Amino acid sequence: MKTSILPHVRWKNICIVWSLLLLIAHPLSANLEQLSLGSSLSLSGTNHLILDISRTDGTDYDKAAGNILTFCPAIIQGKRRSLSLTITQFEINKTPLHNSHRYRKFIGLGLGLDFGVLLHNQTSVIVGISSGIGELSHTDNKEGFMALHCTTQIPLYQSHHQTLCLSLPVSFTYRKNIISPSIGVGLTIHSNFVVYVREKRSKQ
Amino acid sequence: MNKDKRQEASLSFQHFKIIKQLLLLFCSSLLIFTLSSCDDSYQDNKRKGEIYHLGIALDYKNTNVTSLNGPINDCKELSKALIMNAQRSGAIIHESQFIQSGYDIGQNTLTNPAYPTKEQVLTYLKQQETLATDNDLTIISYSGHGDTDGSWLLATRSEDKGISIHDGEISNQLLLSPLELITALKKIKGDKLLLIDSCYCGNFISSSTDTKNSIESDQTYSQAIQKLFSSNELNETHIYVLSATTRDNTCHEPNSLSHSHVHGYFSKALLEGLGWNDGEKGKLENHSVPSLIASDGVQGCLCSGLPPSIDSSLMITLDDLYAYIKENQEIPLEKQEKYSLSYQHPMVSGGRKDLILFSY
Repeated sequence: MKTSILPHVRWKNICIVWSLLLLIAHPLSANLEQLSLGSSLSLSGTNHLILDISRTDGTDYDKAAGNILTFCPAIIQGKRRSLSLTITQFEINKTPLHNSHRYRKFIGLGLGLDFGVLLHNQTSVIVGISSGIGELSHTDNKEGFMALHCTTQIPLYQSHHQTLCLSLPVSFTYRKNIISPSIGVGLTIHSNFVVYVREKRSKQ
Repeated sequence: MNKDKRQEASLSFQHFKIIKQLLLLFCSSLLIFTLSSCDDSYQDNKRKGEIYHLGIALDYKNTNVTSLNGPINDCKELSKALIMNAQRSGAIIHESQFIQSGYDIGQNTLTNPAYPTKEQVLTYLKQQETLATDNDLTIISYSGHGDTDGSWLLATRSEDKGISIHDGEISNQLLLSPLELITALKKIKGDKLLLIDSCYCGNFISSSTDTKNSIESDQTYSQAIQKLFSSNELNETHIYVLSATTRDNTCHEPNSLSHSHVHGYFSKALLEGLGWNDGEKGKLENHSVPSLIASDGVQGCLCSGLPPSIDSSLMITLDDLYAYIKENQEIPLEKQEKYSLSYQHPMVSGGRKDLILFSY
């Protein structure tokens, strides 16, 4: 039995608001210099696996593009709350600063925890923190970083084993004396793989 | 039953349409966003200030220390490569060379204002304090001997009578230490770049407050995390260093018997990274014009295309050169235990900024 909860979340309004926000915020972010905007695509399996890739393109530092990728195998899974391990990949590309300098490319890998809450309207909020180390590409120089991320997942379409969600990730990555915020918009597909497989096997 | 199925099919079709619309809207917003991000290439990428280069080289033939065959070639060709790259990129460059070459210790040599004594080098740096502006770049290149603390061994003075080492001790009057040089450079406005091909020259690379160099440390992870949470402010001295080797290792040049035109291993790769072809066996021999000795006596020429170290951004940076040298130098980066060959690992200064040398 497939159910749609689209009318409840007024998906059109949400999409329009976020599209407008992207269009308005992007030129603004050129002046803010430390805001990244982007999109995210997530695939998650309740109780088992969450893979979240947020692509952020924007103006971190001056003009930056980067990725935040989190891989979260769950540690504890309740009915409405979950705690999971997160592996974060953070990247800032080489960016021009002005005509005599540019920022070095930074690629980092971190480890941390994610805490997820399922709200009554099936919307889930995931808050995570991770810390790690990265390399300034080709320079043999290493640098530490810390990332705090929060993703709101609003369900748009739901079947028995899959849920399509609108994903709104926000992250703040801290490197020494620099905080790089980024916001994104995207889609998340939740899939309860194990339950699906069990049911399929029992039917057979 | 059929009616239920039809209703279910109709519902599924509506859902499919909604998903399709949703994806369309999402993709179009992404497209608009991506297109609006396409102005990443900045408009004016030419260096606003001027470039000052001082090349220092010594072959030590008029002293009692071991003579070197590469430094004079290193200095002259690096100077010319920088001039030609600057011309190609439309930058203004001012060139100076302090060279000690040959066996002469007569007054004409020792009193020459371009004779590389410690006093002459410090005088040049003093003059730069008034000449250089915030937009300028001052490059100091050095090829010669380095003491165990990294100090440069500069030319003997008239009172030294060609003696650099007396009873196994090097005179302090001839040594320019990293501290003295960095102190003098800090007083100069704009960016400063040191290109050093000498023993123990990793001593010129000071620790960064935000990054940790991993070449000489086994505890990089913990130290990098410590720096993340330490209270030290970022140190913006605008001094960049590209060194031939680490603070605990020597520097090498090939045997002159097997090479008719000698360069230090580091300088050879550095020159190639800048697009300089000296006509000898090297990485650039296949894609450049044949070498020749120009009327000024300098062997080699700049290859016709863009320098090989350059990336897609059409600019050559310090990191580009560093990456090229590491990949192309003709001496191992690490110690080869099996064959116990010489090795040298170049280093580059830390921090988050990369220095743009030329934009094409």
